[in-house]
Amino acid sequence: MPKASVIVPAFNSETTLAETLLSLLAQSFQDFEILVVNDGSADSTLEVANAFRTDPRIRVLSQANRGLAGARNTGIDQARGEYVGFCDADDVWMPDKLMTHVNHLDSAPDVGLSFSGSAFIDAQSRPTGLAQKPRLRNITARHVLCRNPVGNGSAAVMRRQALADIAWRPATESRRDWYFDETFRQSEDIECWLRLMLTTDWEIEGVPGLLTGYRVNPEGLSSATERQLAAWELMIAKLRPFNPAFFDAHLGAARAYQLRYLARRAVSAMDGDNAWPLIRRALASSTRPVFEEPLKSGVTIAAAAVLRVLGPKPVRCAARLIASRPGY
Amino acid sequence: MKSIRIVHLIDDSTPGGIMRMLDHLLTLPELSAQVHQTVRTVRRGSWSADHIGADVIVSHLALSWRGLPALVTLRALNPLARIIHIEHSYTPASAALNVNRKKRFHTMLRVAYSLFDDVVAVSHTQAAWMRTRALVRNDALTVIHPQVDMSALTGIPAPRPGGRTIGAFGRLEPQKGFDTLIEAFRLCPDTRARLVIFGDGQEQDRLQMLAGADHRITFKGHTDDLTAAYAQVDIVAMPSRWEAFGLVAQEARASGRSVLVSAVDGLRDQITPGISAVSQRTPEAWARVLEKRLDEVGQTEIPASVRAGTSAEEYAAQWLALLSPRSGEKAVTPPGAVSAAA
Repeated sequence: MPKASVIVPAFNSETTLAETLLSLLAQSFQDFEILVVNDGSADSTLEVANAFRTDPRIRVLSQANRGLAGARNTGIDQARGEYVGFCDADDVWMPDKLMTHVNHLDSAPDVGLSFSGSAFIDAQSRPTGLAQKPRLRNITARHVLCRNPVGNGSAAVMRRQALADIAWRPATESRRDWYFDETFRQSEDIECWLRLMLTTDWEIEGVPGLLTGYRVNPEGLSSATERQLAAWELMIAKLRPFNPAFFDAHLGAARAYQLRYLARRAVSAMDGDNAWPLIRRALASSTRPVFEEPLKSGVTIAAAAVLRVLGPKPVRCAARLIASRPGY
Repeated sequence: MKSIRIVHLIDDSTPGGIMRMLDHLLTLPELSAQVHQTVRTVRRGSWSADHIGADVIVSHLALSWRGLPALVTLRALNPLARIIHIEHSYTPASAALNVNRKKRFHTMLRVAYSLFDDVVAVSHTQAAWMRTRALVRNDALTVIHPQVDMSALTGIPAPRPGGRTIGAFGRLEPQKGFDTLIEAFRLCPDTRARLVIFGDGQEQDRLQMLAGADHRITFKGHTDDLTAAYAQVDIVAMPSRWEAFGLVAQEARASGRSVLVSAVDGLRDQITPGISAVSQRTPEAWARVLEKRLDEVGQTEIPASVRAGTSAEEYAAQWLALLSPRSGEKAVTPPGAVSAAA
């Protein structure tokens, strides 16, 4: 039995899957299996995955499309490891990532989910200079709701037992349990992490370092803002009954952070028409982000305002300056 | 022959699950023949333990950092007594929802549990949590589902077809999830349906506000006459957010009422014929299930054997098994006795 399983949900990822798998095979911690779940891809994803089958650690599963949550659930169902990690088929893991999380989970028995920060990479796998460096310790449900420190779907390695504690089987499902909610096509990550916090006493804790390479697709940045918001609100409606007092206390700020996040994405995509209204909605929901993270909030507000009044040029200049800061 | 002297320690003597369980336990004839039981009430978190002079001390206390010194003293001053703790308070869901500093909380439990010879979980779900979180030594852990005297309830006639009254029993506190139930009920358009809530508590005003002008919803307050109360309802709903065990589900089933529960903590143990789980927590999900169940009232009767549940004899036997000296356990000679003999 391998110590760890890494689940790679893959949907139409023929161009990136090989790089993802190579980064996993190159891990310094070697006692693991990789489960590639081909989620009804229409391209040659399955062929790429099958080409890796010569390595006995790689298992390839195929299913009709069920979405990211459904692909992960199938992977978890088949995983044999004590620890289960997730790496989307367009992201990469740094060589010491798995070792770091295995050590963390081995030494911290109350931690159910171990995560790390992420460095953003572009389509050519070059670091963009930007990164997610979230809070790592003393994480409460409020942090998960407002700031989602786990950050993205390729950052987490979970304890099998913690996954078992959030499993359920909907009446419509006959084959296997759900861990991620397959009715969500967006916000499925945070729904799962927040449910872990609201229904179990497993802790979420991070380890230092930018151990995930998270690929940012510039075209996807500002797309479907309203759909993302709708999914986020659905997630709130689903989880609110677990602890209404908690949501009453923190929902305003959480919504403001969520809107600010979408505004930042719109700014990154130089989409001034969207960024400014999002900022206004964020401020109307709560000004707490401005006080809790004045710098980040200020920059976002300023960028959205400049983008609206002067267009993308000055913002692009500023972004280049920031990205070329030494130390990245 | 009364060979074993047991002292039960409680820090909450308000009429509730623990008191009713003790009333039942103290009157079980199978137990009375072999053990002599008394109850001692202490102040929660601030009591000083002394030498109790019992063979077995059973703690029904709510554990806390503040109460830890008293437990240490209890252990030190009663070195020969077997000290058993029954965990009535903490569950995985209660910890998730009520504990902010989880590391500190787990450490408290590990330290406190280590002072006991045995820890009794009140559900298998709770025991599994204690085991996977390494809160208790495996060999010190036992599961006994609590029981109360339900003989009066098993005689209640089964609900009649066409009955459309949902009952909710328990303190009006966030724990019980009655807010979800009221919201769900208000989504059911059926004008003949009724929701009757038995219990008092701090959430009364808020729940009444949620009920609004819906005249189908009635608050009856606390009742001691459970037989009459269960006879008034056709279905019992328990959308609890956490529940160490959830005796209401047992009572409702004994009354021949089908029960809907949230799949949480001790309620998970009870998902058996007559007691079914609603897997989602939203009012919409509960409304769908309630509507379906209201249409099914009286269609199938819960058999008498199911209503009877675990027998009192079986319950007594579980306690006697817990109290019997464990195999491999050596008889301990009191150190005082040795020096006196010398």
